Amino acid sequence: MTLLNVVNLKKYFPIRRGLFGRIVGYVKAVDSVSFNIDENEVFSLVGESGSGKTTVARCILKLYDPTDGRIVFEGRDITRLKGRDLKDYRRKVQAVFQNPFLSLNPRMRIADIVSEPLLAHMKISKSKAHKAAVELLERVGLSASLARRFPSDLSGGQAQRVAIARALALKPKLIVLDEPTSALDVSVQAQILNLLEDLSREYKLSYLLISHDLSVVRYISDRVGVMYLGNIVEEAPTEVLFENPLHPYTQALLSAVPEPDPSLKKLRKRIMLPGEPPSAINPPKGCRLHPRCPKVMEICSREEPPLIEVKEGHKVKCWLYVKK
Amino acid sequence: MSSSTIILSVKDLNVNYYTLEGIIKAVRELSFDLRKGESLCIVGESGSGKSTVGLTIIRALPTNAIIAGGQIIFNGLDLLSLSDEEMTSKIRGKEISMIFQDPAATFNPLFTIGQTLSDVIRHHLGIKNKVKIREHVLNMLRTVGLPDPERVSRSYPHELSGGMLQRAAIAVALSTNPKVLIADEPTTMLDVTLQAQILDLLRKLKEEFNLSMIFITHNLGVAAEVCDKILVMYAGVPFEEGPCDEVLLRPMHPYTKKLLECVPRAHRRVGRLRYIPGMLPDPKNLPKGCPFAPRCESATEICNKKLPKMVEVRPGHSVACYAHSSGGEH
Repeated sequence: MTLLNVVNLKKYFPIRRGLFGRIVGYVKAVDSVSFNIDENEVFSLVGESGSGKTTVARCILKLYDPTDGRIVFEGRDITRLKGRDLKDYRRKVQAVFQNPFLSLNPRMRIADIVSEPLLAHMKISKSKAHKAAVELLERVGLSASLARRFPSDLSGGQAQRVAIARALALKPKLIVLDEPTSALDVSVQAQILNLLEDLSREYKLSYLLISHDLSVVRYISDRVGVMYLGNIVEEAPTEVLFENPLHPYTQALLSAVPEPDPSLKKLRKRIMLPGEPPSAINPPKGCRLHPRCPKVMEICSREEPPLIEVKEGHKVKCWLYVKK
Repeated sequence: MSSSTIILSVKDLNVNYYTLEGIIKAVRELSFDLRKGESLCIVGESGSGKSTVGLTIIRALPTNAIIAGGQIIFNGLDLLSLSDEEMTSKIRGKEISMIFQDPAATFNPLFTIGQTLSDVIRHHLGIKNKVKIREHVLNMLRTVGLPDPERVSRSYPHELSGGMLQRAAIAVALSTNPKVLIADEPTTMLDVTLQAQILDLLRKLKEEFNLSMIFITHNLGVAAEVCDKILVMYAGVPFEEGPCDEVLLRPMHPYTKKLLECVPRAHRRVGRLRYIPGMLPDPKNLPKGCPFAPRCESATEICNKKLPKMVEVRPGHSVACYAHSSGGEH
């Protein structure tokens, strides 16, 4: 069952200049992005800075209004939701961000942070909400004795567990995870990844994971979309993507990830992309990768390639795979 | 490689920070040798003391830090006994250079890249001729692979992207032809494709300049890419040291083993991740014995009593763990 369906999502940010804030151009942060997330599925968007992955997440969380396109959740377009329907949507879609110390109110006690969404959305008493909060804290691996503490008393890993408990409180359908382990040490990262995996199974959750870390993405996702300059350039089931990447950008991205195992290191072929991603204000014409692409052809600078399905579930946006 | 001469030697180093909440022992009983043309990677999680080691070597510690003991021998000189003036005029930035996680730390935002570079060259190499300085500046910018060196040299730090600025910082660090380069997480702020470019550049420059390098990172993959030797630290204490492949393929310390198991991989499918139970110890209140003992499955009574010493168990491969040796008991 499809839970979330994103269709041709666009988000342009205007660039204003001068006294009257005349619009002189647009940053095309997200330019026609489409994907689905099924129930109880982990879908990841991976890309480098400026690829637009966080903007997609923010549109889904309704922190941004999309410029164009539809976001269909449980069969309803949510881009124009208001009032009670919007509140209902917010209950079903929760978020966990990169830095828990910025997403937790430093003046609130841990138990209050976790029970706040319950009090806001459900008609329950304070004492019941508190009890539920303590249960949630224990479920994410924190001792009940932390309930009366403040976020500043916690380590990074503990604070991220609190953020996860808060996201779980309303039994959501989808949790948007925006770089959830990037600020954590590796030994703690493994604990959080395992916790997220267990919770998705237990609560039948779907995740939209936003990450630049390909190893985290491979570990936790069912399907992956690779973003470059506002486009999804390749989408496939996780193992297919990592074992048989088709798009030159995906190939380069994967080959750039450093590998701790010396025996695997020797087998790897390095593909270097020259230079840095260009600006999203004036993205290159045709295929956006063409100025840096090692396999560039004549057509690439003229026409934008379509996103085509080469095998079931494996889509790629590259002229190399378009049959003439 | 191991037969080349030792260029930098750290002996029994102890560094403490004095804070309002108490004394933090950031580095304890650390010793290692760096040979000419060799790259040593110091790997550790936060609070392992890895960055403090770098700052101690160039004597740029914050004012609340006290070097509580030890020696750092460079070229026959004990760096810890030099005066601040000698350190500034002869060693720091000249013989031993450093690059940081945030490349902007190298630059004054009010000066162009070219001005900063010329200052360093004039000050440390004593070149007065403006044309020669300019030549050297452009040459360095070219060496680190910056396109259009003329334009970069006229740019202010904020006008360059993170990857370009890190290249420029490397140019500054290498412009005095130093013997040792200390790189503290130089690619942590960069995207993976840029990280790969910078690691490639450092590898190339190491060969070209016959540099000795101390590379500080939390990322075992990065360590594997650039290093000849690895030194693993935890809560200020050295745990394991040896040739890179040896440590990664046949780790001896329980912490190193666990750390390798809990890293998710991009190039291999892994089963469920193992993790290290518990948390890093509170730096103000370190356990009496081995700092890893409270999280270690193979900890025995002695581990909680006394800090184990580094002992060479295999050739060139040392470990500080009672499971592998008597821990240097005398």
